[in-house]
Amino acid sequence: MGHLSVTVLAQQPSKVAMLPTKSGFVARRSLLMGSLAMLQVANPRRALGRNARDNHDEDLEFEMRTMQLFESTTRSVVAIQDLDLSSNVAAVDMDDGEIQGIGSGFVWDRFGHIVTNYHVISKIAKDTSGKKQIKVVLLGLNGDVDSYNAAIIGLDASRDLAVLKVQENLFRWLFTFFFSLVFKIEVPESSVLRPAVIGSSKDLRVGQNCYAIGNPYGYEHILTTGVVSGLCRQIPSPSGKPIFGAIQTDASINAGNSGGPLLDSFGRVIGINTATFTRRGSGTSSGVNFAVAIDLVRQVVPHLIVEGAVSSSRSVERGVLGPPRYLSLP
Amino acid sequence: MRALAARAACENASHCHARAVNSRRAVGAGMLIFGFSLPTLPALALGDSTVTLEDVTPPVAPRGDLPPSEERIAKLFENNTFSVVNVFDTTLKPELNLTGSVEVPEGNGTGIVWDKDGHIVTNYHVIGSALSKGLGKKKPVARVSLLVEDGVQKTFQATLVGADKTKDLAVLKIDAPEALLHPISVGKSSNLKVGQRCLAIGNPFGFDHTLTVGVVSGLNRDINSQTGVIIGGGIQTDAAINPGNSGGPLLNSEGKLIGINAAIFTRTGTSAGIGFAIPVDAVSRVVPQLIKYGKIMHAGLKIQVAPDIVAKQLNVKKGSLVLSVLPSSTAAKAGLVATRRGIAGNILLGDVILAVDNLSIKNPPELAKALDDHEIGDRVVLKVQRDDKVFDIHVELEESLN
Repeated sequence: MGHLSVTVLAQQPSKVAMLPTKSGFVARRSLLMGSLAMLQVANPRRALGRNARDNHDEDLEFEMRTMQLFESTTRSVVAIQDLDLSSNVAAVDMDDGEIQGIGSGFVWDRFGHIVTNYHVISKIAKDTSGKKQIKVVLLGLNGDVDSYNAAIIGLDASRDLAVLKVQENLFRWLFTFFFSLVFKIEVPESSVLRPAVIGSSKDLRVGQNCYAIGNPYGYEHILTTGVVSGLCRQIPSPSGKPIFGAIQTDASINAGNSGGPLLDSFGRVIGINTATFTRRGSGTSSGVNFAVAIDLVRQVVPHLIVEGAVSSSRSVERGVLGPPRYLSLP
Repeated sequence: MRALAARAACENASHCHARAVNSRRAVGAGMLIFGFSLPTLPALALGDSTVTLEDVTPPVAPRGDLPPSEERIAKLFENNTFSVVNVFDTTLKPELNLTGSVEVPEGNGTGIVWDKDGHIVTNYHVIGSALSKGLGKKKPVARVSLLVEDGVQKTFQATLVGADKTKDLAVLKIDAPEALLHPISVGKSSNLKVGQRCLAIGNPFGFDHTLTVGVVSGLNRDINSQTGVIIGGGIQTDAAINPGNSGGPLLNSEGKLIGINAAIFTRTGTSAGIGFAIPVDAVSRVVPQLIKYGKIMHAGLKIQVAPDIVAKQLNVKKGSLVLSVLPSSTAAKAGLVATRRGIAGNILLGDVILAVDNLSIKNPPELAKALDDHEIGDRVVLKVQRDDKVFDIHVELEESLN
């Protein structure tokens, strides 16, 4: 029967791991899909007229803010993995299949809905053999790493969005149920799930910092930083139709953090890391990277959750994204 | 407690075939014990009926003001983006990046508004195709798009004013109203330091007015320009620079121009974090000349010097042997003597230039470079050897012969 797969790592996962490390006893074969772990902490140059102490404080404050941002958003970013059971004929236990890290996602609400990109799970969505299972891995309390089965709730290929729902496996549920029954303690629903703080993309400004977080294996974070390079960009979607209002950034976006959140300095989600522009399919980031704007996501995802799909009419975009924002002359 | 149980029950997916038999038994047992039925989760992607739209629409968290460092960069971009233009070489067929239905026309490059007369500075190689076709001056070579206040881009025909391959720079002119022209403010590149913040604005892959940020990674680099020339003194940066960024500005954290993005080092064709810019001090010297004369006048003397082979035959081992001097030139006025034939038909050697302003010259290329480092009109001191005497000649530089 499905058993709890809790792995407590030797290192403290609640601290943000800057470089990917493979813990020895977690014997999972995962395909490294070109994940980059670069931390570029911007050090603003001193402007004329500010004294040295001000600048030093500002630099320190910036670093502290950056570190706090990750401490607080860590638990909202999940790993999305593809468990393929067909490779192991004698599989009895759920976790004896081959696990591949395929991307990231983040927790949308306390009901266990996870938002990610359509292209992250499109292969599984189309799979009819029934031998594939989506796993969502997230950090629980005390730094535990928990793996859950997930079901696909909603798909929108023309905006490259997908919603999953985490299913607490039965054993864990029974355990918590009996535990709370015996000890008469109310187990808080949201103890494991930590929904991300949602922001808005309409007041974004080119030049402000942004942070792309991914969590492709469930116990480590890929963090890339950069600035908002451009706004209201058009990018292609898996369905072929264009996605409007995308945020362009020079923070690296690649297979590891695809589906994960793009955050501003306040720790709010401002987009979903989606694509990088490459030439000749080289797969390496060029510094021209894109995220789907959160305002569009916030309009579409509730419908995906409740209805499973959303009409592809453009009225959603027009209502949400409005006309492209213009700069006024200085 | 009941709410918890009911919710958990819904989460058992019945479509998950691979669940082992044991777990089904446990579920069944649980059902029997607790007496509730196991509603099945609906099939793939048909929504979650246990929640309402309000339940799953999160509130938007407000934010305060941007931190001062981010505010500075955002303001820098907003103030300077109007000085950056798109440059499309009209002789090239527009290359459309067809990805699904999204067409991103790949503009060839970026340019910078230089002054209120409508002069636009860009790289030579951005309009290289038009230049190689030999389109003369005052002929339209490119289309330039300016960013206008209401967010629209206005396109103008640009004519060629001047270009120099050795510095990979070109100047175009557009006929635009002064109100639309926002010249860039020019800085200095002589006091740049590795590690200082720099911003690049450009049109990589056709995504216009893209801002990328990085630091000065290195100084005094040799840039292998697309024109096939090596440009010295290049600024290296890790701000992402891609095809399309060429000709665009590299700004310092005060918004002043410190370089013009010209090249990248890459194996994939896209940015690898190694980009190069022509330093603004070189640009500031070259652009006024291109505007005034249409070409760069290299400072020198109207003389011809002997190439190495000839000098060796004539037994001149060091310095530059003067073969001929143009009669009306400043060199002639200064008294520089050329090589000539004597009465008996023998060759009488002319002056051998040994040094320029105390910088010793070993061969003709060094002489050319030493003179080129000056401006036209500068007075220099040549150390000259005539027969067996060594003395100084003062001469005023003018445009060199070649």
